[in-house]
Amino acid sequence: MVLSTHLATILGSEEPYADPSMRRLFPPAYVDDEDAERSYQDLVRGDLVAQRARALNAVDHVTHSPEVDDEEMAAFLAALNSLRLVIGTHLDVSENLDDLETEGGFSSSTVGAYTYLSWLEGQVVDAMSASLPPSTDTST
Amino acid sequence: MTSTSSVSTRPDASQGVFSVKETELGKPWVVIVWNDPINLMTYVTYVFQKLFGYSREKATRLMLDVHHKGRAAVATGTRERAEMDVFRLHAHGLWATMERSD
Repeated sequence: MVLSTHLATILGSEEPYADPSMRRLFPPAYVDDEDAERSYQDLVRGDLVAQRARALNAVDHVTHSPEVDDEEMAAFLAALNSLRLVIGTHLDVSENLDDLETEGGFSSSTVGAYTYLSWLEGQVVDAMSASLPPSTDTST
Repeated sequence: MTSTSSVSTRPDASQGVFSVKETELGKPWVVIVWNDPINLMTYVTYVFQKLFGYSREKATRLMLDVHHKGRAAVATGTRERAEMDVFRLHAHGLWATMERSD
């Protein structure tokens, strides 16, 4: 899958923010404390990269297997969402998907891929939501 | 979380500065999720249910707050707890930050 390969490449980049979508994949936790933010990124970045790489590896397995378990589906969903974040950032999408059809510069295949991934993610979310355990929260 | 009331009962007169520091440490942190045009509304609801154990109704209400107001406080707790929640939200692709509660 070409898109997964592209994401794997930018995840492995030596330049943390060489690709604009990287900031979207690794947002700041602290907006007004540089030291705390640096510590946070140092602490979590390796785990976030590793999780996303594992999720991408699951895509090939899920799309070629007759049966998948919840963990594999969760990884598939995570990969779909990461891909949409990357493509959506490059497309500079607005809330209205229809705007993509008229705003210029991008190939119809990129817009088509984003639209397809959005539809597919919606299907997976619906399926995963239906199998969530009962709420443990007692507040309203 | 550090209890501020237990600090204030200490008899030492020099506790003034120390108790302020303790109060700051004990102040709860708030986890904020910000609106973005990419994440699906159903996905955001699903993530709130999955990570925080919220009911579908509460998760939907928080998602709509994010969508319409631009941000919503989705969890509170100690700094360590808030940082863990932010990390889990980041792992799920949501734009989350944390700040001290006012």
